[in-house]
Amino acid sequence: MPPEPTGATTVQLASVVRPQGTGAALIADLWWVMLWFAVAVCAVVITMLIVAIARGRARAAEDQVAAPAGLPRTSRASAQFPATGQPPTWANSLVLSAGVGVPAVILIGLLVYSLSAHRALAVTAERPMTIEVIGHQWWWEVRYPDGGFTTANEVVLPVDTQVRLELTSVDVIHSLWVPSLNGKMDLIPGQVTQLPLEASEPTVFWGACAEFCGTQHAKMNLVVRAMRRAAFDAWAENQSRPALQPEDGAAAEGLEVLLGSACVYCHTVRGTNASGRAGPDLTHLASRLTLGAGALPNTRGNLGGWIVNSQTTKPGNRMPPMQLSGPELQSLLVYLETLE
Amino acid sequence: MITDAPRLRDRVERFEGSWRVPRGFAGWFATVNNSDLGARYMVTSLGFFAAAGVMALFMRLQLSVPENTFLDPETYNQLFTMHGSTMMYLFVVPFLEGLANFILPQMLGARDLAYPRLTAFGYWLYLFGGLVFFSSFLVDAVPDAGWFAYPPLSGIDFSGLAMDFWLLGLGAIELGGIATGIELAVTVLKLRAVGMTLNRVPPLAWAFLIMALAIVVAFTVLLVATLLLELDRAFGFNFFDPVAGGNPLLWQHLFWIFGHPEVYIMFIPATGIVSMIVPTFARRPLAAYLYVVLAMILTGFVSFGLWAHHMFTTGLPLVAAGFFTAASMMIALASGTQVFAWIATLWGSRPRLAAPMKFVIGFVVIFLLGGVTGVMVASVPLDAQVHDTHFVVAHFHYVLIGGVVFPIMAALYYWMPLLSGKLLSERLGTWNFWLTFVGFNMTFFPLHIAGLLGMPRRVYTYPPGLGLEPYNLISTIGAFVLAAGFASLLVNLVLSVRRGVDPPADPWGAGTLEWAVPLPTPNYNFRAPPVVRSLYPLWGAGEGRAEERARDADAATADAAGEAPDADRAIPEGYAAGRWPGVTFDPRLDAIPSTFRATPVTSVIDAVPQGIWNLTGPSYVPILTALGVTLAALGPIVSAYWLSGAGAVLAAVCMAVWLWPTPDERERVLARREREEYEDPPDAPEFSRRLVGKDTAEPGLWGVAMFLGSGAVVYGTLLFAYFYLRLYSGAWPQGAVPLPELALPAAAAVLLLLSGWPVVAGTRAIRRGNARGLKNWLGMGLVLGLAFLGLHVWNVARAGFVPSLNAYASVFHGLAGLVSLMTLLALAIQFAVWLRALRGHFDSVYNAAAQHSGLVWGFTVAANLVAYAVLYLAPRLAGFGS
Repeated sequence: MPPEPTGATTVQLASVVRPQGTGAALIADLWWVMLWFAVAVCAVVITMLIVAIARGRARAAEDQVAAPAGLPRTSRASAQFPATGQPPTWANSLVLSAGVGVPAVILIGLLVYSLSAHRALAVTAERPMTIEVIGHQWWWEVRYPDGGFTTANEVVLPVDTQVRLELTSVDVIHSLWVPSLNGKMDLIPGQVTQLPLEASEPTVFWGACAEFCGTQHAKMNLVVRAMRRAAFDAWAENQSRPALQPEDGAAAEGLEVLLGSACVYCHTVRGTNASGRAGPDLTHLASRLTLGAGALPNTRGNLGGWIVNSQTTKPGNRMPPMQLSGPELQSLLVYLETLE
Repeated sequence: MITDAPRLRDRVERFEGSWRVPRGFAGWFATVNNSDLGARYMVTSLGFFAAAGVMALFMRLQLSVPENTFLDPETYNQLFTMHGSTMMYLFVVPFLEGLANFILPQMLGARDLAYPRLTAFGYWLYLFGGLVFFSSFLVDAVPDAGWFAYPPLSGIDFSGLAMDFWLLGLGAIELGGIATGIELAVTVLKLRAVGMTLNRVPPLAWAFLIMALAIVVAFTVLLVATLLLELDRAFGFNFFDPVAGGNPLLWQHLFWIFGHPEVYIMFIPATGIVSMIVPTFARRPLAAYLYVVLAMILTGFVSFGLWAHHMFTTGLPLVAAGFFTAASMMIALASGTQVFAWIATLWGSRPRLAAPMKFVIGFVVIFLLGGVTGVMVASVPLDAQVHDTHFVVAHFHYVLIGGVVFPIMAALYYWMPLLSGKLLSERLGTWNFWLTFVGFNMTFFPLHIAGLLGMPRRVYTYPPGLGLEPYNLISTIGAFVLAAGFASLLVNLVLSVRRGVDPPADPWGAGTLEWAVPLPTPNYNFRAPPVVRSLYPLWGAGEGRAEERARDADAATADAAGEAPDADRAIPEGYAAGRWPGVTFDPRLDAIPSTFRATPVTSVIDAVPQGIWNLTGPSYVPILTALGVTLAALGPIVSAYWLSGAGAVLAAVCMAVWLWPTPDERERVLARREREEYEDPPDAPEFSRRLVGKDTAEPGLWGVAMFLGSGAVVYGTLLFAYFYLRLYSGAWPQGAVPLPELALPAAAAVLLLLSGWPVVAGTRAIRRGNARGLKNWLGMGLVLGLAFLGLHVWNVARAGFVPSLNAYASVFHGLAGLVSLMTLLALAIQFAVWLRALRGHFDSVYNAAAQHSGLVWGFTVAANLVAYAVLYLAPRLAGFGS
């Protein structure tokens, strides 16, 4: 895989208000408009409330009269005022204008703006590139139907291209959210929803599962890697190839370990006999940035620790601890690192 | 004319005797008195509040730094589930119901709520349900699927015993909530003081009426939804299972049809509280009363039309999303109306900033912030970003703590003199206010930003490096400040009860009727029922604009109540704390009736007196009924269905005892002519002798109507489920299920329709005094009804498929089962009325039970016919769905 031109191995801060994609940019504009209206409304109302009370307090101080003795403090002050006052005569007009009229005008404006933004967020490309994302407890299966390959926990896409994610789930409801690129969309078992994504910068974005999905909902994260077209094509080309067959040495021993262990029941390495479907496809594991759906950076040390006992990092996840000897683990790691 | 003193003394003694709360064991478990039970509701709910608050502190500690290992993920997930569920189901709504139980009769001028035994039943069911729910901690099966429990996560494949605790514990609470809702609504409609026309109803009573009606509808939907989910889990039904044709989004629709009104069930009474406190401290009537009431009603209605704004990220069509956005924004107009009405009330007044008023100001400020973020999340695109993040966590805590808990604290400070007979400390109140206000904003304001920076909600931890650290740390520190604020409230409550200041009557100089009750509050609130001539009877005799409109109604009222007696006589002993211009206490009704509990019934709109409503005294039946229901709910949890059966039998027996009139009651109504001779002074107004009859029985009729309203919602919910499932199914019936046959169902429908006639004829007969006709017609109705039930069960049994086959089979059997259950219930009621008819219980005036039973049967016929049309005809309609 060619190196990223921008050195984008550091994840961008995720932020709704610093958009990096067309969808998020539209929403951020809406956010700022709504925020300023909100600030204005709060300022006006709170000012009126403070003025109403402060003026009243000042008047009350002026006409302070001696309270009848013998009553507790709380009732003394109230006894000063005969309860005969009436609200201002313009009260009804104020309520109708400031409480209903003005907000109605503001809200209708915001409603129209919101609906037009909603419409603009739809998938617009004629034949958008489609990526299927399937939710699992607690990781993401990512399929590229055009390339015919499957990866996990990261979505790679070309910049300045609208990509349509087709979302579904095999177990419970999840929700895919990449704040810098667009709003979120739920992954619902038995249904397919879609979410357009379009990144404007070749960089790496942080994403998360936003719908509570069980024990490890918190560590069901993902990254979205946007690449320039050439880099993306090279990446896709590489991903569509099966895993390299190691000739000999530690890597070949590692493959033996893999095929002889429980790994194969859950994981697939294309080009070998490992074809389990319960866990992520490992064919190009080494090309990914994270392990355990964003739980750890993908380094050799982390990978070793994850294989031996992933429960310490991500308690409750579905991968059991592996009973491997030191040499077995080392050769397995050597093999897995060849899976670029 | 003048009642001689010894006779009055005797009567008062008898009166106080019949209202006395029993001591000891019976006092604990048999009391049905609204003020006891209201106070218990509030104390219990504050206990749950404290428990849920401590859970929140644990959660905030876990989130104080990234990658924290203070709590493991399972524990964290259990804590947020229990925190949310407890706050929503066990704290806020029960507290408000408790406040309503306690304050409504005093505010309305009634001696108790409409159905005292139902008050007790609601409380015990709440307590037992809450205990079942919390007992999950004992067996380490704590619910952990979140307070809205979305399937499939909450389904049998992903959640174990814990979900059964959640579903069945809360199911019991919902049932209790519906009972309380019906009772509160009927009380506001029918038991108001003479002269308290609709435009003299205090805003909080309006709010409680709207809350109660919303509870009856919304809680029923939730109750049905929880039962459907439990059917899925325990018996393999497939309502929500996508593998067998079900749809997990059906749950989301049903849940939020409940869940969104739930927010306003809490918020509307909170605004009602504010609309009581602001006028008191501004020393003047509420501005724009009419608009405030209309705004609350509008909020109640619209709240049922915006549930799907919780589902914007499930891929709703654009048109639907636009509708729900518009409806959500409309709520803001209702809130704006109220906020400006409060500002107008304060404008130019001399408000005193005692503790209740401080919390009201804090409420307006915090709620405003929660309101504007509410408009943001109503926008589909913006919601797609912030939905299910800590931004939303911040938003709804602003709405719920600012919008509801602050008014609740204001209410405690304001009404404490009525609750405990003591004032709360102002000094501690000031600490309480500032600690909660500052602590609250410190806790929740930063979470808006955490959400915008990509922090989803319900995460037990978060990675470093996303910039979330400072906001979470500030929030955790704020949570402890907030907790200190709530602790100071608790200290204040305890200290005041132990050694608080004894307040004078009406310590705040308020204008509404509850402050006319002497302190400490007597069990019966009012010895002589008040006659009201103003929205603020303690302030004015009706000079306000609202009062002018009621003037015409007054003439009728005055006639019925008799001319107002002179002022000295108008105030019985103990009520002489003030000389109030807008209220009189009719001495001719002083301590009337004395040998049993009763309160005046008035007409819904004009509050013209119609008669006397009999209120039941202490009884063990409510707690035993609640126990039966709880045991029935426990059965599936402990996998002992015999326990469910035993509980159901216990509950059914108790219900029968409950509804069967006591010999004392029967003697009273059937031999009423003799009783009134020695009971009433000769000059008592005529309505005080009217114990039975068409108008007098109206509170019962309203109660039955609301029960049937709840029943209609049950049918409606299942029909919604039916058509929702159908809409998203390729073929209907699903799978290899054949179309249902028509011949026998058609025969059953004809039988059902025919069974309606004898019931109508029977009730007509008894109104003409024909008791024999009633007996015969009812017997015939029973035979036809049983024939229908038999044929119906036979039809269903021959259907040839079981519910676990697919979603169509599930909803078919679900709806058919509902038809069976409703028919059985209605037949049981009709059977009881028939037995009573055989014993000669009814005559041309005393026949409410027969009328009610007829109404229930009429509803059953209509609802079952609709259900039959859907079951047998809908699958044949082409062109629906795809």
